[in-house]
Amino acid sequence: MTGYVLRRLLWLAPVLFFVTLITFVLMHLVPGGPWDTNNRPMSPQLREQLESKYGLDDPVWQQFLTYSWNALQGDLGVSFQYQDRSVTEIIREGMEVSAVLGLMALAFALLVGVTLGVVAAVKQNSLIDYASVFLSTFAASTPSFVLGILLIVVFAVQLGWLPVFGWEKVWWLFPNWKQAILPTVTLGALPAAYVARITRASVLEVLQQDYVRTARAKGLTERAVIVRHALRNALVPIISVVGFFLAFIIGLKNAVVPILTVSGPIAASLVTGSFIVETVFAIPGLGKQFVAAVFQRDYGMIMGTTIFYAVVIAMANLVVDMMYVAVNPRIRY
Amino acid sequence: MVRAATIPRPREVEPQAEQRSLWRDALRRFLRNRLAVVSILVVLSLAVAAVFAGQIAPHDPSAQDCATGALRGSSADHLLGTDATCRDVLSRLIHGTRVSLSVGVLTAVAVFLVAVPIGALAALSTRLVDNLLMRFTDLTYAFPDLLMIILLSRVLADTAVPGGSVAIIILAISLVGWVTIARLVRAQMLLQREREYVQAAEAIGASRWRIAVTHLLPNSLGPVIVAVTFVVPQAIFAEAALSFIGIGVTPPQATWGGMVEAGYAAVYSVPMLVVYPAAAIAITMMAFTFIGDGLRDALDPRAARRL
Amino acid sequence: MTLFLSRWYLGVAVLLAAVGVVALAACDGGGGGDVSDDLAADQSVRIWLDGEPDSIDPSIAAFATSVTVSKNVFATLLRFDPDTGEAVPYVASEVPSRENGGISDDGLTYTFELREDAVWEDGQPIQAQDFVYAIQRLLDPRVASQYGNYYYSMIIEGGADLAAAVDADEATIQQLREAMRVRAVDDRTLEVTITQPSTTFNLLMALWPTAALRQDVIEQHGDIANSAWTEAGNLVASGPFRLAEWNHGSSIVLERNPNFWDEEMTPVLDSVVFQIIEDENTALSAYRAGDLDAVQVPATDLRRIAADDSYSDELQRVPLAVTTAFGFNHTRSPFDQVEARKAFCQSVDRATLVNEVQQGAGVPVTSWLPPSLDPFFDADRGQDIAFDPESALQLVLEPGSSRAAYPPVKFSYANVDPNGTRVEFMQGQWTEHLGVDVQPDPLDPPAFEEAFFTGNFDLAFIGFGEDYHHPENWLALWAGGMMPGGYSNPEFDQAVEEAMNETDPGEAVELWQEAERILIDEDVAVCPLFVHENVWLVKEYVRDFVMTGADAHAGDFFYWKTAILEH
Repeated sequence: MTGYVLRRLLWLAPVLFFVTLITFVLMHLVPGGPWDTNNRPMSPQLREQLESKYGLDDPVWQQFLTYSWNALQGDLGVSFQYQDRSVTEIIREGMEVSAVLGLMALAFALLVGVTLGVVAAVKQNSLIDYASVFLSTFAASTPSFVLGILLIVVFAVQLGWLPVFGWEKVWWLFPNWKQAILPTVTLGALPAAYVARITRASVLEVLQQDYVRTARAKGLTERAVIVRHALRNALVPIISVVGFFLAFIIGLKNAVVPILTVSGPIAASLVTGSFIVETVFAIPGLGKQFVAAVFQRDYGMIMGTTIFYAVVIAMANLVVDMMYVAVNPRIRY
Repeated sequence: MVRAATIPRPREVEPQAEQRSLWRDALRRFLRNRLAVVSILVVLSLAVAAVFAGQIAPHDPSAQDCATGALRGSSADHLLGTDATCRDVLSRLIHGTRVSLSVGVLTAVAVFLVAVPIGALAALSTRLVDNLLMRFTDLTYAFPDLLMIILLSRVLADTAVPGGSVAIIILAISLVGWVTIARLVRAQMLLQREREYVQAAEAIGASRWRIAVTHLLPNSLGPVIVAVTFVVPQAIFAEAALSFIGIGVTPPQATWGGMVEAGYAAVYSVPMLVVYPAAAIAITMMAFTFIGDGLRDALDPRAARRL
Repeated sequence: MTLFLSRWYLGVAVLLAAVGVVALAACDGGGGGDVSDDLAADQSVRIWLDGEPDSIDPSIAAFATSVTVSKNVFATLLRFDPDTGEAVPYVASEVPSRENGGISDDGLTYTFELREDAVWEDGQPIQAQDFVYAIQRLLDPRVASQYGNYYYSMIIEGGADLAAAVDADEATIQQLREAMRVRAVDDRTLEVTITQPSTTFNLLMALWPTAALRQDVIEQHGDIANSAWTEAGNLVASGPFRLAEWNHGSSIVLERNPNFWDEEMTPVLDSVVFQIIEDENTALSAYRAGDLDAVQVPATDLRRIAADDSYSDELQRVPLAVTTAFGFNHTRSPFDQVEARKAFCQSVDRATLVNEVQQGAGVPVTSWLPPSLDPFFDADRGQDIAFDPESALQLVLEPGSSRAAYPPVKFSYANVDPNGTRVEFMQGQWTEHLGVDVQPDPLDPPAFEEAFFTGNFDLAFIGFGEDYHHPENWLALWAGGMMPGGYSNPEFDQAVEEAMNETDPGEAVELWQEAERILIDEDVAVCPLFVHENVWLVKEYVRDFVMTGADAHAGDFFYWKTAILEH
């Protein structure tokens, strides 16, 4: 395992290099440059000044090398749009928000998704089962900005229970919990739906394999088996907290492999979806910054954020693959 | 005394026969899944709407009837009202089926055509090639999707791509989405390679190519087809999300994603403008999802009778 | 079983949709609640801001949001009277003129006398040196100031040389800075020499880039172009407000500057809180929920809100000095012919564009100068390009310009809301009235700017917002073939030149009007469409939120006057 991990980490270097190179090239190929955001005619004079200030008067290959060299030393440059603010600092500020939001959404997705999936599987073919399958498919089919505005209108405007927008840190990196609810739900809805469907399917499988066989061997009907089993007990309305956690853990344990398989789309939706949620709820996160940087052709921000994301994604992939191998040693990569 | 003839004999299974009846069994199971069948019907009617949009739609989707006005509610002439530039919403919804369905289906096809060969190649060739290909997928994975899509669509926008902006969107989404499928194909084929019947085939001297094509590939395709089916709703969803960001099909082409985005701007005054296209997207996505579910249930040999 | 499923699903779907629709459409009703005449204890107003400023450093600030903050935190020699648009004294005690000796006889040297009592936030007096440093920095090539180069490099004597010294070493730059004809005669007197007599230089000295700067503060935090000095806690203010907080991407809080030196402009408010919200709907939701006190009405919502009586006390509208138009590429067929330009211009129904597509926000115009530019605005301007589809069609079918020979035409625009709907509307108009096929070409803002400024377009959707209230600001940019699209007419250039040099105000009006006549009536150099309107909702308990046509952001000239009433 250690060898595998080390090898993967070594591969990180060329991957990062190519990511940087390709982004750099694409960025310079795209029409429009960082100075084309004013609406006054650009005098050749001004263009010269700007290019000199930001080092864009060097040939492109030289710019790439300079950038790479600086990046290796941890200097990701400055933003071209937001007067010289350091890219590293902007990323750090943005990540403090986006990472927390993402983790909260993930926690929400797992909590709600697994619970819903387990309940649906155990009470299969009941109203709850259908409702949860429907709800999860619906949540997965509604664009997040539609869901977001719906939640805002209902909970913030009409009922006034929650604030409409914003993200203020109250303790370390954690936000005011009232502000965090709607964005977390909006961002976590899609992953929750995926997790619920997967959990339901895998718990069903398990239920049917082990217990049906045992029950049939014992001569019991299916229903009796399910009724009797601890899982069912754990979900009776007046439950013990332990029972609930037990059910949750069992569901999670059974579903973890399939969840890992789709972790790609989930992680991706958390990264991509965060832009939409951050825009709708006016949250100063990195997703919003990143997309804005691309549209403003802010070369400094684009490069820095891309590299940062690439590292994060590569590490996340590695962790997921490691978990996959740990859980299922037959599959070798 | 029990006579030998009355003891039921275990059925002997030959690889060829198993393969044929697998598909037929699958079809039978699929057809029993009412939800999946209903979804197929829904998709078929959408396809009809897409093909015959010109005939079905009451108005030209680009015609601006400003005598009626912009953002007006439903009337006899405009059953679902008018949009921000006085165009008939119903007609645009119908015409939008074309783009949304093409984006969905063509993306899935593109992903399939790219991912299967790459995944198969990775599974079947040497360690080195496999490694290289997997690192290549890592590279694609490491790219922030959105950046890739935005940059690609911008770089390609200048060149005259046949199919225009729709083709560019399809290209961009599939370039980003093929990775998971490729890995799945590879994993499946690796799994199948360990199965006894393959070893048996190898033992009797079948060539690797023959094994790959006649045994590994078809038996791996089950989960792959299911996964590719799920790409369709994801692509349709992606088109909507991209329209919100500002990377959509060029106007005045009607697309559901574009209509949701435009309707979102007017959500307080005419909320239905968002609801109609969002509902269309949701229904289509749900239909394809249930079809995918049905396929998976049908193709899974271990599936116990559920419904 | 599965059919039951489908019905069940349908039922839930309908239920959810119904909840959604009811929730959205339920009347939100504005107003209500009693508002007294007394001032509230908590004097803090929360105003919507549509994006993060690029910088509030006066030398660099270019976004409208940036200008708003910069204007209220820093003081310039002169400022604009928002009603007349003329320059009035600010840090300078008088506006320089020939009469008071502020302008030399040859019209080239301006002398500004500073107020005795003007001080910075930390108590230090605002000195002439601060303005000298500011102007030197503005034109310093290492700072690369957009507005510095555009408005000031040519007019200030020695400025062009300084701006041209790109990549020069520090000694040379320092030399050129000192060679520039901007100097402090003494602590309270500033002298500026310009390259040619101008009727608008005082207006230029009222713009935010010329605000006084503290050399010691800037140098304390980095090199000449650093922005660290603009962060809250570092920034030293000279205007009515000081920078209390800048939470990037989230909010900006301005507090009353306790050391502000102008009695009239001393703020009533304790603080102004700008909430940065990019999404219009979220902003409106926040207003409805009571989390914001002032917000812009999204164009698509205007009809509903204007018709709703409960909002009538909260709605404020004012026309802006911003003209939206579409420009032609005069070097490409078919727009090298005036008939084609006229035809395209005549076939757009501006009234419907404003009333339907924009739900009544804005005023249709057929002139480039906005109606607010009294007395230069001519109500008869552009009669020939008013909406007249029959005439347009005739032009197109005339033997001289055959319609069939029209190559496909692209209508380029920056792909930000709400440009798309306007462009699509116009495209529909041309299809309907001319039968011509125009292809909308949405581009990312930088790509659009690049395409526009390199002349790579057929039609371009553009707008122009006034920086200072004078026809020179509007018309000079069309002269000399400098405007992208390649419009060039020596007659027009001459008319502008004459108007700029004319000292008699009455004559000047005539000459400027003549210049615009050539531009619009004769040449149809551009097709004006409408003038913008700021339409905002402001809570009843906000007193004296005064919007003017010159605002960079609604009400930003009068934040010092605004107050909160008890409610």
